[in-house]
Amino acid sequence: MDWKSVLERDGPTAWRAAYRLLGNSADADDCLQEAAIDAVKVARREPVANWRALLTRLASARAMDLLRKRYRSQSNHGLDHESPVMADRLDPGENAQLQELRYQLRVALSQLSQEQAAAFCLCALEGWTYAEAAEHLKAPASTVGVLVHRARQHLRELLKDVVPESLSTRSSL
Amino acid sequence: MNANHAPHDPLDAAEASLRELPAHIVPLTATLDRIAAHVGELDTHSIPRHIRTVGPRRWRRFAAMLVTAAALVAVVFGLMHSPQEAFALEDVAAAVREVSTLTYTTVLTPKNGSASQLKNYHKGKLARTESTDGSYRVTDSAGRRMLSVRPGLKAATLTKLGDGPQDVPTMSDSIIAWLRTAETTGEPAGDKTINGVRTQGFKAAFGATTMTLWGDPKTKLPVLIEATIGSSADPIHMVMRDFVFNQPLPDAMFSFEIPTGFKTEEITFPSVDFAALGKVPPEDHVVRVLRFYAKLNDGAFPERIDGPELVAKITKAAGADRVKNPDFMKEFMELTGSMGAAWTFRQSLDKFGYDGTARLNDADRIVFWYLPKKAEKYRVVFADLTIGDAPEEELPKAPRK
Repeated sequence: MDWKSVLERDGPTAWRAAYRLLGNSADADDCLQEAAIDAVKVARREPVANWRALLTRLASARAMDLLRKRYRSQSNHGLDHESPVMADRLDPGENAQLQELRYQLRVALSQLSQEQAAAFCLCALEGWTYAEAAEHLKAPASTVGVLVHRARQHLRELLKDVVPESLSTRSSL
Repeated sequence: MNANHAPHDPLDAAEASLRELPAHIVPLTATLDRIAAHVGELDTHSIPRHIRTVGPRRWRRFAAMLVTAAALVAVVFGLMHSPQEAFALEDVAAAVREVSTLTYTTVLTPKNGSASQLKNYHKGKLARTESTDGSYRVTDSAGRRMLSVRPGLKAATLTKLGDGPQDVPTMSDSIIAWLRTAETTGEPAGDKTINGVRTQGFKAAFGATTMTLWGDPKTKLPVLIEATIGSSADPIHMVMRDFVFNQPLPDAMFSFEIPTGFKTEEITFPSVDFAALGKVPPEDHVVRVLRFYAKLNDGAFPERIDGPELVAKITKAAGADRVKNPDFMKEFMELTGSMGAAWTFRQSLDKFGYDGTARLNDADRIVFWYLPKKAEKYRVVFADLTIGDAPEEELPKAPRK
């Protein structure tokens, strides 16, 4: 198995999936490594048709594990975990508010069930179709749709009190 | 984004903020290469599956280093303690020192895990360690160099250590140093027949680390060594067995010739004076470790100061880029010695405590304390990394050994 080629080709996508959730490179590095190790196991059980999708799913799952550990076991605010490069195109005020939003979303994600979080990460954040996610989550596409819908409901409820004022003047980010 | 909600919906905004990651945020090529190499090794390695999958973050850094780490700790301890009045264990140490060649097998079994196996060969200042996947490492202790060859990846790494007053320790050195540490606390463990040889046992404990050596009374040489190393939370059972002494070993086994077509990486490490480190007061080693860790972690202290977890965290915090900085590596290598010394020191204490919840420069907080022999007050390290003495009632209410 040419792991170097696989990692060069598909590793960055999986790594970015983990980075989205965790906000820093060191944790994303760990998630990608653990995902790659998990992928070895999967490859022993069954042929792998799409390494990028497999690594991305596994890296997302690892990142969610880390997120749960981070926010369920700690009472401290998590902003210090995020690398500043995530918002370097924004002015400081917007940057701070978006950083707060991302933090709140990460905390909220850590409170979802594993199934809902996985479906939300793949479909809402990584842009997978329900069918693509269904194949990897081993569930019907309709179920994935329901999971994403419920995840959004749950997240919206958890984030309902987070309304930074400037967001009302921004149509997109 | 969900069209049923207004653009200023906090969920939509947060989603978009996470989704629209700037294009320049990508992993380092070196990171991908490192992961590919690691996974490639695991993929071709015959280490049992359990080891590959449980705690990979820890194992990726330590599976291969474990024996070396144990050796380092033992050697540091050995350098810090001059030989004392000995009984049979000293005879074993002396006998091991005299052999011309040494061959043995090391089996490492983590808690709830399966075993991995290494074959070790020693000839004077040369050593060779072979993994079951065909990868091997040759160490030239006097020449201060080490060659790691990974046939599965067609890759080799030549590591050169800078000049120093001591030879690079080999495993036989570590066995001797380990036996020395056992001299003061070792006690008979009875007799046992191993492979037809009637052996005599000696048991020693250093905190969470325990060792039982079964030696042949006739030759004074070890037949089997069993040890539990690592942290108390994640103990690793180590067995050194199949000892063969003074068997001719061809020089070719210790060749530094790199197979044709192998990609070669060369690394040079600065040297560390372990003898000088051995003269540093033990609590100063703790201070060094805490300072180094806090500097890399914005003033936070580690949760624990023992076991491989701390080394893993420091290695991770150090990052790949800093490894290329000679000044940083010099400090890091010295810290490695201090970590071994601090770990060994901690293992030797009866009354000891650590509270890592303080932050650097919290001058009133005590992070580390121990009771020196025959002392009434505890020796303490404050969070501003000054050292002092304090009565027991002033100590933090953290769990202590």
